[in-house]
Parts: sequence; structure tokens; C-alpha cells
Amino acid sequence: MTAALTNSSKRLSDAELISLFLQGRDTSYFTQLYRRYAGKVFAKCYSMLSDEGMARDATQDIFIKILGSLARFTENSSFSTWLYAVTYNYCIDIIRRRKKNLLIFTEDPGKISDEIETDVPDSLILDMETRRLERVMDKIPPGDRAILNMKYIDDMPVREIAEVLHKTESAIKMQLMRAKAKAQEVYHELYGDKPVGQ
Amino acid sequence: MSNSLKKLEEEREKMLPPDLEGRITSHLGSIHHWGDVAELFVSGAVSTMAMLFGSDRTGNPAEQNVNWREKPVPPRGDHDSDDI
Repeated sequence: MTAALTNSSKRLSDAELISLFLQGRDTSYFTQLYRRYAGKVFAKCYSMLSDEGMARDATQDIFIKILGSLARFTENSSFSTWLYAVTYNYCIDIIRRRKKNLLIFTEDPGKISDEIETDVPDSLILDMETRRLERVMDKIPPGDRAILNMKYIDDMPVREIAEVLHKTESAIKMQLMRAKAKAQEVYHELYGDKPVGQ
Repeated sequence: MSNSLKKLEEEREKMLPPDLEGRITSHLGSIHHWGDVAELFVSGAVSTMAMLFGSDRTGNPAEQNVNWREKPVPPRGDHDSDDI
């Protein structure tokens, strides 16, 4: 790969890199996409799988997987949204296969009960000291973790989260409330009444 | 705007193993290589099959008469003295 090609490819958009890679099969365009997103994919896998080695293997598998399906990528959504959707679903699939009886969500988002719940403020998650947040996130169901990550890290609208997880928007809204409530419950179990902030 | 979840993700992004890029690139290289091999082999195999079934390299029916019952027509300019 030439340095000039790498420097010029840095200025290209994701869609342009994909198009050039598919046209000419020059691997440097794919390498550029990898450099843009590998860190984020790895961080998401680590968050979902709670294991550095598994996160590394998953990141490798995800990039090889998307390499084979790049031709099917349509610009209906951004490349990052598509890549993150593949990442979350891949991790949820691994967790399902590893622990068949594990609850993926606090409650199945397809079965929404009519009970009225109070919405936990976002600040509980967003202002929590990072080491405590790390422990809390590790103890909530992986599906809830994925929803919280998509909402508060990837800034995805509820509609997109629903598309990624193949659920309805109302189911995702309800699941988001439950995920925050679960995080609050776990926080109280671990840290009692200590304030969440630094 | 940054929040605790984003900070946690940024910390983890820095933990990306540096050797992973090499592993992906070598995989990418081998796919590229085998793609070339497949392209070469498949086009060669198609051309051979086409010729076996009586077509020329372009896929059109062969122009030469290959009927074994008829005497072969020698190429132009290569007639022998028997015809004189």
C-alpha cells in the first residue's frame, strides 16, 4: 500500500471508500475503513462480552464478515450504523450460543406489560463515575447494555435501535426505561446510597 | 457531548490490540489473491468447456467443419500437387 494512497483515502467518505474498494479491490481502502472503526467495534465488543480476548476475536470476525457482505451495503443508512448493527447482533448471538438460558433483556421487549413505571433520569448513567459504571454495566443483561450503548454512545434514535434489534419503537422505549431501572437497582446493590457522580 | 458511557468507550478503544490490523490485512490479502486465482481459473475453465462443446474462444459456434466423415480442407495456400 502506498503512503500517497493512504493519505488521499483519509479524506474520503465511508461510502466512497466502499465504492472504490468494490471497484478496484484495492485493499488499502478497506484498511482505511478498518482504521476508522476498529477501535469503536472493539470497545463495543468488550462492553458486550466483558472479555478482552473474546472482544479481539469478535472484532476480527466482524470485519471479515462485513468484508464478505460489503457489496450488499446500501446507503439507506450510514456505514457506521450498519457496522454497529452487525456488531451488536453478532455479540448478542455469541452470548445466546454461549449461555442458552441467559436473559438477553431484563424483560422481553415483545411482551410489554401495562404497569406504569417511573422513568429513571438519564443522569444516573451519564454522570456515573466510570469505574462504577463499568461494574454496573457488567451486571445488567446484555440486551439492555446494547440498548443503553446505542442510545447514549452512538446517539441512535429509537427508530434506528428498533430496526437494529428487530423490535417495535414502543418496545424499545419501554426496554430503555427498564434498562435504566435495572442499572439503578444494580447500583444500589453495589454502592448503596452513595451519589453516582465522581 | 461526552458522558460517562462515552468516556468508558474511549478508554476501551485505546485497548485495541495493534496486531489485529495485520491479521485482518493478511486475510484481506489472501482473499484478494484467491480472487485473482479463481478469476483466472474460472475464465480458463469456461473457455476450455466452450471449446470442448464446439465453440470458439468467443463462445460462437466453431467455423471449421469438424465432421470426420468429410475430407479435411487444407488451409489456403497450402495445396499439394495432387490437385494439378
